[in-house]
Amino acid sequence: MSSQPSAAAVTSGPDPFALLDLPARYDLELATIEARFREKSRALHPDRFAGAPAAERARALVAARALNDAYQVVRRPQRRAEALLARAGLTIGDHERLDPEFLTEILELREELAEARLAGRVDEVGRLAATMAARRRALEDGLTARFAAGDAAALELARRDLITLRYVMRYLEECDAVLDERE
Amino acid sequence: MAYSDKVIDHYENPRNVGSLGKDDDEVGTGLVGAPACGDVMKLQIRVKDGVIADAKFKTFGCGSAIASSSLATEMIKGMTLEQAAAIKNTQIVEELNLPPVKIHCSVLAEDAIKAAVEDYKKKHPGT
Repeated sequence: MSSQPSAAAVTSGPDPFALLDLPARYDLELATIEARFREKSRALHPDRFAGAPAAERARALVAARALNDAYQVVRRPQRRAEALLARAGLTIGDHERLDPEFLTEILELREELAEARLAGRVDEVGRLAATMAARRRALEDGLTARFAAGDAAALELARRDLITLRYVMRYLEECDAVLDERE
Repeated sequence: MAYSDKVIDHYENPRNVGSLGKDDDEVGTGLVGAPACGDVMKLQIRVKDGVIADAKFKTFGCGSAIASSSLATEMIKGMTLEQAAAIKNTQIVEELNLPPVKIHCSVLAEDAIKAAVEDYKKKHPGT
């Protein structure tokens, strides 16, 4: 009965792109991000500090954790986009005005999911999840053009998209939870 | 995170779960969402002679969000629209003993009550 708010995505800590020595942009290839993370982590691997003084070992551990946190942000399109917006001073608040039609739609989809779960209709849960996953991809792809434009209007549209994406991601989490308990 | 006994009670035995006809003339519907966690909450009131005769909710969210809306429906039954609209989230926080990270759930419930009252008033201009 807990929900992990993905809101934690936006942190005010060190810049995740800088930590990974990557340009602060949305259109990064996952392979590039992974390669850079591996390269940077090797330098901080505890084995390299086995004989080092305790203070140095501790520093390396802290740095490795920060690097890992940055990686978790940059590798995920949603969190990467939220981090980019945060750099531009744009955040998602708790009191966003939401399109009532969108809320109605999400509520209905959540109801459908709850009913499918109760009735044990796993196929339907899978279908609902697939539809929502397509929506997730469309939103993530759409963000590429928004960030490429990069002006204030485009960034505000990106922010709206990201609010929608949070509901979409939350829905997908719920679908996963149902599918997991069926396995 | 540990939930208070009252939250668990409302979560396990939620009061007034369900829906009222949203096109019904006597019904006001409040639909709100929390972008922080992707939760959605629907709270509906049935108004008779200026008093909230019935209230129902449907919440898709964490235990605290469910408990907050469950408690909200209990609180507003028998109230006038003005009394209901004056409810503050802090009353819900106190009653449920919500921790700071869950205060936004009570805010959501307060917003849902206000939205339901507004919706009803829109259907009945002059009330």
